[in-house]
Amino acid sequence: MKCAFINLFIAFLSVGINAQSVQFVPSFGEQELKLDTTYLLHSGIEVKIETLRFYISNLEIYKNGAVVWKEKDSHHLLDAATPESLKFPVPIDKGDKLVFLLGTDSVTNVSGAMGGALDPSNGMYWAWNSGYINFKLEGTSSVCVTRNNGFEFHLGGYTREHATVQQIELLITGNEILVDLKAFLSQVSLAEQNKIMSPGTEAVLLSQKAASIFRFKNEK
Amino acid sequence: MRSKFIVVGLIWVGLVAATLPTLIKVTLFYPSSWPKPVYDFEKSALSKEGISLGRKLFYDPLLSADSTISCSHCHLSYTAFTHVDHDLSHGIRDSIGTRNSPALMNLAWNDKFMWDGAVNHLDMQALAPITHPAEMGENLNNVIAKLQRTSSYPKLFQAAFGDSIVTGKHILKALSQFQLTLVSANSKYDKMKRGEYDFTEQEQRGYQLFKANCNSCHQEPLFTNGAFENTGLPVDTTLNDYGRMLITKIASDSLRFKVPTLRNIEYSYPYMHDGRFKTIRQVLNHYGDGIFDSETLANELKGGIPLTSNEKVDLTAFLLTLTDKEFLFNPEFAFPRN
Ligand code: HEC
Ligand code: HEC
Repeated sequence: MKCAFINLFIAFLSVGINAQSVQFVPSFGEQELKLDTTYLLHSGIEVKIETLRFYISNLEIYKNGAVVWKEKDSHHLLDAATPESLKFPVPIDKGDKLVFLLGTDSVTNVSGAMGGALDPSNGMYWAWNSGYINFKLEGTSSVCVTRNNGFEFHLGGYTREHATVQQIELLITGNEILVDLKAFLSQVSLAEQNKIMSPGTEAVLLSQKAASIFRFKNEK
Repeated sequence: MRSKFIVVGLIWVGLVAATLPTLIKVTLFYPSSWPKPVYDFEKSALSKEGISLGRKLFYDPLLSADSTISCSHCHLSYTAFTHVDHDLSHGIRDSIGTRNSPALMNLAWNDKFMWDGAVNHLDMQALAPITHPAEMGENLNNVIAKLQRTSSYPKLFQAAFGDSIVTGKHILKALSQFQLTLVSANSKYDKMKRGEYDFTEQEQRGYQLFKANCNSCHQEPLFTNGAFENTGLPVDTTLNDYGRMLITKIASDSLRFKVPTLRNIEYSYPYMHDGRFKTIRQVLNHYGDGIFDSETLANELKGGIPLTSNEKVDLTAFLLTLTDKEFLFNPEFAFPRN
């Protein structure tokens, strides 16, 4: 009885602490994603993810339709291979809705050299067609008739016609946000589309799909 | 309680002041009649320390994979920072690029870089040559590591940016600072504008021809309007370079290339994006009767710009008034000797 009480207390404490941050959880369906591990996409199609990196920016929290918190200089580079990059402080208990951009806005893309998450040495900047790569997904699949069966999606582009930045709005139901790559890859026909390395209509369509794979992990 | 707070505040201010370098601010000098620069000096101010670091980097082959090629390899100060005698630029291990290296000057007024406008900001331009397999063949992280390991650079980064840790941002900002100082505004033409020099009759006739035929694109005072135009050069089928369209993916941008400045044109041969012309005469002959018609050809150039041979001589005399010897031989721009 006493034990249960302490457990409850600890649980309460950790919720209290966790409530001040969000944790992005790359996943394959409901399962936490492991890099370089074979997954079954759908019957007969196997995939392996090697790289997942993306920008999250301009984080805001809304309560009853009004902004109650806005992050300053809000740019985060998340990398599935670096667990520390997937979690950062956000006062999530302040409101009912989390709003952020998947990618970097157009102003950021034309503002010259920047540091930190935006430093071009992070490998998320295109040297030969200026602009950030907002979302980078690389892996292999048995259906890709490419060198080493590889697929590479480098989604970026900031001009009005080829804007890839996506706004995502999520009702807050916890503090873990799944980034479900199964949901992404299910919307792509990997046999035909497996290499996007520059801005254009394809990158725009794929980034809309990428935006659809973020969701709060259900509590309970 | 309150005084304690103030004391803590003062100590903090003191600490910050101690770590931030005291920079010698530099203001870019340019004629008052020129438009405002595009580069945002409010956000990234020039300093003597930043410029001198940028200059050292510009001349340092350490920026390439095998430490053989510096920026100056293809952008030589005495030839308006272009690579003379090479139609297509030559880079690492004798690789040949696909384009002619442009002259570098008055970059603070540029809003798109490269012949096709691939680069949207001067800061980001250097990433392209550093990483290009046929130019410097390196990657930014290696450059950072190599610079960090030297005995000289960490101190210079500390002096310019208050941080001895080398970052991509600071390398790029320093290179920009040096290149921003490459202002050419002291040619005969500029002196004429300031009332310090009178054009000869021939130069004056050339100037009239220029204003009538060329100024719509090579607009005064920078001698470029920054636009992308198709000047009717037939495609070189060994290169198949369609210019701006490669970036925008819009068919109407096919064969458009950035209008280059004509300042110091006497020294920046060979000409055009692929360096196909060696002399100004060849360029004028092209505008006369070499225009290859296609859907995206500039309106002004439909039917060409036929000039008599006397007119060509006059126009050339005017173009030579755009040579700025002080710019070309400015010791501040040359290889740093210390
Ligand atoms: C191997 C030759 C080569 C090297 C080395 C080289 N460049 Fe260039 N540079 C070029 C070429 C060619 C272009 C035009 C490229 C294009 O249009 O695609 C260019 C374009 C530029 C431009 C754009 C000018 C404009 O008006 O659009 C700038 C600025 C520049 N280079 C600076 C640099 C700097 C800084 C370095 C060193 C980090 C460097 N270059 C190294 C060949 C070179
Ligand atoms: C419709 C716009 C337009 C007009 C009008 C025009 N030019 Fe150009 N000019 C350009 C463009 C664009 C280029 C670069 C073309 C390329 O490399 O594909 C260029 C290139 C040049 C070059 C080579 C510069 C270099 O650094 O390589 C010279 C010289 C030149 N023009 C002179 C002239 C003269 C003289 C006239 C008038 C008789 C003229 N131009 C009229 C757009 C124009």
